[in-house]
Amino acid sequence: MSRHRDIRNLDYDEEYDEACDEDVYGHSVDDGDYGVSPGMEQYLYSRSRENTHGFGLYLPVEDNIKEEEESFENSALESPGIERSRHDSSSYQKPSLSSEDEVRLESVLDEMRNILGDQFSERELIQTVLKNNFELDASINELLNKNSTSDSAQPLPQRERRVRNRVAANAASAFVEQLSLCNSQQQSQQAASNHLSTKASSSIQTPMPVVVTTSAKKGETSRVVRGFDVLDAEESAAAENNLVAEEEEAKRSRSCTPVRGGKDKDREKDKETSSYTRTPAKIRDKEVNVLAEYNEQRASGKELLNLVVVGHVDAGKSTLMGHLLYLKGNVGQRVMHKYEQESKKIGKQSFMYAWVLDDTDEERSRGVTVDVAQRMFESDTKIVTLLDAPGHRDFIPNMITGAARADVAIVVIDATTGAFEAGFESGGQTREHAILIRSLGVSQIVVAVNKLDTVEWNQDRFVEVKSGLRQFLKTVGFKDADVVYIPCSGLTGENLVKPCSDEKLCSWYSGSTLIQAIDGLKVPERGVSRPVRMCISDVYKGQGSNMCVGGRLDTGYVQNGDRLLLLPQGNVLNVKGVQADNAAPSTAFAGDHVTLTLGGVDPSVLHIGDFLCDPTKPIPLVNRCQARIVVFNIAVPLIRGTQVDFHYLSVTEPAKIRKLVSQLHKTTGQIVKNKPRALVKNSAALIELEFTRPLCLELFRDFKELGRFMLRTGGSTIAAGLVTQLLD
Amino acid sequence: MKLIHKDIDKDGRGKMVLVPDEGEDMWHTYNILMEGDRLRATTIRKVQQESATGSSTSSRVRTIITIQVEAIDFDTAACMLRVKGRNVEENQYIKMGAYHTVDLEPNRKFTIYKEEWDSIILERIENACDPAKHADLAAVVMQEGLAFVCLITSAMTVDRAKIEVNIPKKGKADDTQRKKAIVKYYDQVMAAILRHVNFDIVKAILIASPGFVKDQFFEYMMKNAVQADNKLLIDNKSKFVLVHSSSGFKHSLREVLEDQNVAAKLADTKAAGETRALQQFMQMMGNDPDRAYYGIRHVEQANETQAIETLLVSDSLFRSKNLDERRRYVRLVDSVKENGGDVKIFSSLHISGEHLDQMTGVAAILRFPMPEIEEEDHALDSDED
Repeated sequence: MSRHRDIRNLDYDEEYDEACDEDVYGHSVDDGDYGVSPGMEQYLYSRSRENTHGFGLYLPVEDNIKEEEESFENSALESPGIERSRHDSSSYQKPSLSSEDEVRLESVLDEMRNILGDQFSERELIQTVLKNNFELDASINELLNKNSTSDSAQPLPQRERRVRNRVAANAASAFVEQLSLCNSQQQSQQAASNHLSTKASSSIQTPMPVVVTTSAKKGETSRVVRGFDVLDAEESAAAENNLVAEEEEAKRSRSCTPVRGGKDKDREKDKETSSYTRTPAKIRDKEVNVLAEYNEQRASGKELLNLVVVGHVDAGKSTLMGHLLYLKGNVGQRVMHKYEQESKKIGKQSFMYAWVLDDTDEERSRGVTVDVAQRMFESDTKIVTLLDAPGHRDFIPNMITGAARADVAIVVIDATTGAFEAGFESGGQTREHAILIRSLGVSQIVVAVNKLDTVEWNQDRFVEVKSGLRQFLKTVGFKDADVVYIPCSGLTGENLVKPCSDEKLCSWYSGSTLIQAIDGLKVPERGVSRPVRMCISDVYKGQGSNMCVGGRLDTGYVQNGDRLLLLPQGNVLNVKGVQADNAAPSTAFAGDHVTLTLGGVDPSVLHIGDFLCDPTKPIPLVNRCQARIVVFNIAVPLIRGTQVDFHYLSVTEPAKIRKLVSQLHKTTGQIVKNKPRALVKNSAALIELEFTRPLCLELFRDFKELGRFMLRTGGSTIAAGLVTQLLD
Repeated sequence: MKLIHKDIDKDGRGKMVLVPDEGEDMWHTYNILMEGDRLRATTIRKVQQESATGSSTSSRVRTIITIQVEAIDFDTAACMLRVKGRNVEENQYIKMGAYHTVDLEPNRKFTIYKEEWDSIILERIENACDPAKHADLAAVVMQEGLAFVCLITSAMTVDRAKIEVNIPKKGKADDTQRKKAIVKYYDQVMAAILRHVNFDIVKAILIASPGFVKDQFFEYMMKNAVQADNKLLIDNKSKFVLVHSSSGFKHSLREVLEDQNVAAKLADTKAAGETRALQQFMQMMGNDPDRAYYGIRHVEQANETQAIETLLVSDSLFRSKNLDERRRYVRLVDSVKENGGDVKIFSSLHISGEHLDQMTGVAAILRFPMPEIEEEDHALDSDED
């Protein structure tokens, strides 16, 4: 008996001691004013600590809210997760190193923490660094890749799991605290509680017999009030028995937010649907097997890809794409000649390719793209819907409506000396666009390093741009594997469709062309069999008395003769014609950019930003919603009552922040502080938004195509968010 | 507004005789008049008279009436003030205790009797009667397909028109529909400006939009004015100021007023001063959050230690029907002034005031950081939980 205890305890003790000491020293500067026990620290808010976090920190947070399909093997992950959170960072003892190595290690670690934040434990970091011989890049890559492989192999750590984890972690940390507090005096008692802590992690139902410290109490009580404790307990019991199915069930009935509301929401939805069941209209009289239809029509053909082109103003987005379209034969020789002549006439010959996409007078005379242009072309394996976004900062609202419809993106970089840097500075659009597209759910990008001909195809410049961007894109949350860098020139057409021909470029580059890079992108899964949702992004008169609406079919399937419900107006409209660029007429599937001809509708009823949906499963209409947001680098903090522009697909509406519910930890999503007074830059929070009129919103949990939004004010993007709960 | 007569005794009771000149004065009156006050004004009443034979005739008579105020309604669009109450002074036509609703009219004097005239109200009257403090301004906030036409006076921002036109997107072979829609949109905005803006009064007309919409609209409007020989627009061309704003929503008007060029033009107007103060508060919130607090509880705590440098209060708080609550705010304002602090009373009809209203209506910039307020509050919160 005593032998067992010895082995367990001795190791434990010493390690904890070390860890605690380290902790205290590490923070002694910040926390010097008030005595904080190390276990308390995580619950305290400190501004100075906030600033040490890198940008990439909160992006994984998004991943934590996942759809239900992917959440199977949680139970398997569960116990290791607990183990890790308890032991890893706190108890890991560094290997002994020479003083020189120690310093190198520290500097590399600092840098890594800046980039990665605290999503990896100290142990992982140090081990990786040592393995890679203090190489920063290599270590980061390895860590991120490790992350991505585990992503694909197993589902990401789910939010569900984390909630549960937190209880365990809290319990554990409470014990840890006791350990560290009383370890010198009460060896035997410690042994008991130590034993308990192991028990607690495996089953939370175990009552805690010892005095609970404040930090733990805070966490626990708030949860007890909200009724999560019970759920969690059930949950872990289920997990223990490996009742995957049951867990699945339990998850369905639970909100993904830490606040109660899962049930409320469901009830709400019931109410919502029941209030609409009066509408006798069905989407179509004869049932259609959508999946079978989809497989029949689409399985054999080329895949559809929605591609948005972003980048700093004057990086050459429109020219690059215009030239690509021309080379692919989507623009006639004669038309091109006409553009060439006309642009020459007003002295802007270099804009001739941009005119392919910039077709309004104002855009041509000013040489600036104002609104998103949409074109279609085919590559070897894909049908690509191209969305050319404006780069000027005044037109970011337009760019958001474009990017919200895209699956993947091309980021165009101006490689001219000074221009890349200008686009990359804090006010530059390269930076803002990259953050925006990531927040809008784009995960794969092609970086087109444009205008390399102006620097004589200098390899050094290409490498310089590439390395500058790589760091940044990583902090934004793009994995290295998902980013491809292509040197090219939009004006000369070098390396767009045909492999490079210029000697200077060929001398050092033999990789893929832009079009090959596009071919290499993966197509995301489409919600074809979900209820129909379509956000209208364009309205115009068709032939006769018909109206046409354009937009991306976000989910579902539409065919001629369907009846769709227009919200928020509530009219049921007949679809007279379905037209998608990429497919046979009269049918369209999720992901397609379609034009629907609607019969018997008053033109004044249709607005940009309205939704078309299945009459039997209407999209909820709300005045208020609760959302998780991540705040960007803002000068003025967000407080209650802040007025913002709410960008959601094609919708742009004024909104105000009605309530700051809680401030969350950026990576773990734990509540850092309830009812914060203000949200400062680079923080994450749960807030309540109120709109001036009812809007159609979907939860991110239910429709990952919808449910993402951006908040802007005064010409800058202040936050990105996910809808987590519909109120009203 | 003109002050004709003032008779207030030592403990604050008394009466004032005022003559409103314009719409804005109605807004001031709305803020001065409280339920329970007495109002004496001229009004028109339909009086039924029964003759000796039993036939009744009704006639409209103008008479002077004194009512005890029970309800006050203010219509922002028309700048009308309706006051409902019971008659407290017997006269020829109206019995004691009969209900009557008075529409206050410009240029006709009225008398307000109050049990207590407090410092806020007295200051407000003083401001309202100062003719130098007028600066009228019109603003058009636009973005493609959306526009607001507003009038900004020293105490109010009044929406005059909202224009929404569906403009088809670019990218179709035939762009006549788009062009037509744009022309329709410009025409509507132009018509709204001509209808709602009185060029004799306004000092400037701000046209704000993101991108090129403002330039294109201005170009279109002037071209049209020349073609139609519209003297009014041509003569006042210099009054138009083109400003950048980030969106076409009404709340971006705040941005417009913060703009350096515009701020220089309206240096002394109340709207600009309020905007500036709010901006300062927000900046302080960003730089040193321990020196910026909002919410009555926090602000009062700060005031106890005489820490308040600038107090921002929305005038909507002084309209509170609850007398104690009103007194609480008056006390706060008085005490800040006593301690040498600056008090800015925001008009809740301005964009900045609206914003202040959203954040509880009261905010303060402190002289020195007071982190303890928040800590204490946090402790309280966790107790509640």
